Amino acid sequence: MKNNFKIGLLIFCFILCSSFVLHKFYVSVTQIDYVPNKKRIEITSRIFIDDLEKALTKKHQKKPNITSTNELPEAEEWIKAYIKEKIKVSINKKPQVIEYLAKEVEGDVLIIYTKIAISKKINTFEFYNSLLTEVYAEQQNIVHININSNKKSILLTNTELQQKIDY
Amino acid sequence: MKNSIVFSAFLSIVVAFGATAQEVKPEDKKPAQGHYNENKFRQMYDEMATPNMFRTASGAPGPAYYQQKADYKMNLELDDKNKKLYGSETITYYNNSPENLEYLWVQLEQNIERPDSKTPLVENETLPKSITTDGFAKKFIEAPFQGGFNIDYVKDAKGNAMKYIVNQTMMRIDLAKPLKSGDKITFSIKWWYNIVNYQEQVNNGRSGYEQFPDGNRLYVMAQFFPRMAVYNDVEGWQNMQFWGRGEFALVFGDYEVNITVPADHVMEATGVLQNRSEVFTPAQVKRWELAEKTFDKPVVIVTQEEAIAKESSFSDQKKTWKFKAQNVRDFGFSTSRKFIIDAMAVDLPTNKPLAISVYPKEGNPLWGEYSTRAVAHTLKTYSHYTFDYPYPKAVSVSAEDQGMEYPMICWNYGRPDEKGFVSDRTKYGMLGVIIHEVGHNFFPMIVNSDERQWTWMDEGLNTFLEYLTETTFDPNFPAMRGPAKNIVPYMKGNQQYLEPIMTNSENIYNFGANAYGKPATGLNILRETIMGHELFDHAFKTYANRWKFKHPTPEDFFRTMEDASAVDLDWFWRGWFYSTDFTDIAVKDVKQYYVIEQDPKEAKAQFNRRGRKIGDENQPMLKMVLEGSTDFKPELKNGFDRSKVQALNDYLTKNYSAEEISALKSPKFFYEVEFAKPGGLIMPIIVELQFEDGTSETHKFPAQIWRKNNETAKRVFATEKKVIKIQLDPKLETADIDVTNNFWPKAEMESKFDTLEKK
Repeated sequence: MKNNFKIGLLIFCFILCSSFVLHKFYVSVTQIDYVPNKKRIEITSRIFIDDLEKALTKKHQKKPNITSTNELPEAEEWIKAYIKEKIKVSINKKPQVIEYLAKEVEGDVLIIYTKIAISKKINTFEFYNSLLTEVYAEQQNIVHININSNKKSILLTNTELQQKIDY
Repeated sequence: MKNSIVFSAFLSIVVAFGATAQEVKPEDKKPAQGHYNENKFRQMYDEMATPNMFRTASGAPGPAYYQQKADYKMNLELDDKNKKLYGSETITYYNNSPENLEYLWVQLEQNIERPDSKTPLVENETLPKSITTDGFAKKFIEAPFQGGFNIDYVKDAKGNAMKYIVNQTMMRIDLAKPLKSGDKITFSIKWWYNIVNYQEQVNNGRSGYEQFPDGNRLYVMAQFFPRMAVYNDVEGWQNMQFWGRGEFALVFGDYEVNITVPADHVMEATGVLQNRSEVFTPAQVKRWELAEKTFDKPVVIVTQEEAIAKESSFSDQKKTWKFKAQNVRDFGFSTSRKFIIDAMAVDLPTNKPLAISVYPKEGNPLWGEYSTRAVAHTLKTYSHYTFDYPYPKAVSVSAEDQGMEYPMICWNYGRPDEKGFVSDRTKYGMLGVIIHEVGHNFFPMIVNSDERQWTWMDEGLNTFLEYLTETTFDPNFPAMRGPAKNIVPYMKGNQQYLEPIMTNSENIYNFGANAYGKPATGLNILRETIMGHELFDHAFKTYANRWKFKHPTPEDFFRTMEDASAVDLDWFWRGWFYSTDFTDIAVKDVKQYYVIEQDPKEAKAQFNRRGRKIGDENQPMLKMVLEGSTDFKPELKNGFDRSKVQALNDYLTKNYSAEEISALKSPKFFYEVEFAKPGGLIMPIIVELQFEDGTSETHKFPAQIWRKNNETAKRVFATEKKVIKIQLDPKLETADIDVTNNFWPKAEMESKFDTLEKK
């Protein structure tokens, strides 16, 4: 809540430091790579664990304690369902199936690996990302897209949940 | 001797040939222009300050080194109900500099909370498309917080008002006559200010109070009094404004501080408590005395029951706590009705300080078990790498959303959730911040670098020791900052958002990676890969001891690390600290050669063609051939057999006894490996050769292999077993940002997604 107004400045400063590291910015980062010879699009999303915890608690009225020893057995299913609901991709105007692969902890951040199986030429790529926007109005979702050797970074927010890129 | 002559003859041929080749190229008619010395190994005479009598070329304080001193006597009163702090202080300032001073600069960091503070004005703003109601109210509707110092007076020793002017967070006090070199001056300041709820105000999260739902507050008080700025030989007056990020530059001195708070409060502060029997119950005093003799586990001094009993008392009575501290650069205190205290003694060779924790009941179960033990482990580990912790105590205070250090005391976040559950993330987060903030007692509280100018000097060195401390506290500690591979995502990032470490704190995009992670990683690479533990640890310790209770600069650190180790590191400082270059070293090409005996006629013809006049034209020659050359025969693939080459056998039997010959090496395979360096950073080349039989060996070539050619390098490996794979930097020690080019043969790397897909 505290840093509502500084966030724009700090898109690239993922972490606020005074003499320590404490995240107070509502940001997620998603990396998207199209690997034609592997016939897939690789999607790596990084979300602060406490933010995701809050989102899942709000949705299920129960704390999942993700990545802790107390993690609920259903937590991973909740995460899968959450990602499915919050991240959507259309390629050449057709909605795609996003397959959940795994989650991994890196400090305060949960890394979620998903992929799309695809082998055709990508002419248009439409990406929808509403991760955590229902929890924080200030949520910013940064997306780095690397398709057809064309790198582009976009910023999705509560009021602009998706973007389309033409190749 | 002979070899070297042959070699230089060879070199001159190459050079002459090269020159000829250049002349015949039509597009190269215009000769290349000259250039300055751009060698990455050149010494850093241009970047570093010239050594002088204050600071020597060896990195030590020089014969004319001096530092100022400031002693403080303060009376403080906390108005808990109205959230105000009142203070009067008498400062005695000693001018040890060789100059006379016309005015004094005093720091007023609380002014960052003034309604007219410039800190929020230098930030860019965008209008968010949607905004929470409280955020909207705070931004557009509510009156700003009335923070900042209210100065009642500034008076000289005789009680006469002194002239002063306030410029943001700095106050200049003008002197009637200059303060002469060697003289001292005593003056007093009376002030008060509104204490900020640090969780609500954005300007300065480093001190203020935490509000509990039960009506209680937990105060973590720092930068709460006007403090002398540093005057020294490198900055003159260090009066750069406090914008919020670049922390503090402070003078050592002695403190006598009396703090009046509600009678039911419990307090900890910088320094030694002078009146324990007036503020503790007799039982608590006894427990304190027991803690001073207990080295194996914390002793609870103010119990959770005692703390809970007072939570609702809200006493109207007052009590004064009296502290004295010697040779500290600052003073902080923390006070609340909610505090539990525990402590244990720490056994260091020359000191037995107390490790102390203070926390509200909300900190349990967690703080009682871990905080004091983490403090004790930190003091021991840091003392081992620097000097015995010289102060009488180190306190860890539980304060949410905090992580901030002061002499002998620090604020740390991390508490169980509402149900009392402690996740590993919470536990290690809390331990990490305690180790880090307690560690700051060494850097910068004692090795007193200028944080306002160089954040990395304390944060980087401290994060480096924090890493060593965490991994010895718990081998499974998820320490993020230290291992070389963890800095790769930062260093391979968009150059637009990278700055050299040698950049002022306020001008950095990714503060955590730049000022904490990267310098800590650099030191780790020096220790593990470039210098080795013995040389590094001695040099690091030398730096800490040379500069304890003094004010070092970056050059003092860089120079001492070289001076105490005889390892030339200018190339490393230049690359890692003064630039945004990254490491990328690749295997460019591998050629396997086979050895045959050269036809004597061919050898002689070659000999004559080269026009050499020295040497024996009849000496038999060996020839290196590639597969596919006319001399190549398939059986060569089995490897070189020394005994089957008559000329070599003759040479050996002539020069060695049979016994000696049996002890000689018998290389069978010969590889010429070419390395490329797409990255600008210099690093040693670490080459792992993997053999057919599953064994491997590692070769390390010092960074200086790049000293004449910054782009490519070649090495020859003669091995007894066939090499099936070559890998560079197999243990990820050098922060190489692209490991896909580290292999021969070029293997398609299995990506994270390949692995996951297989599952």
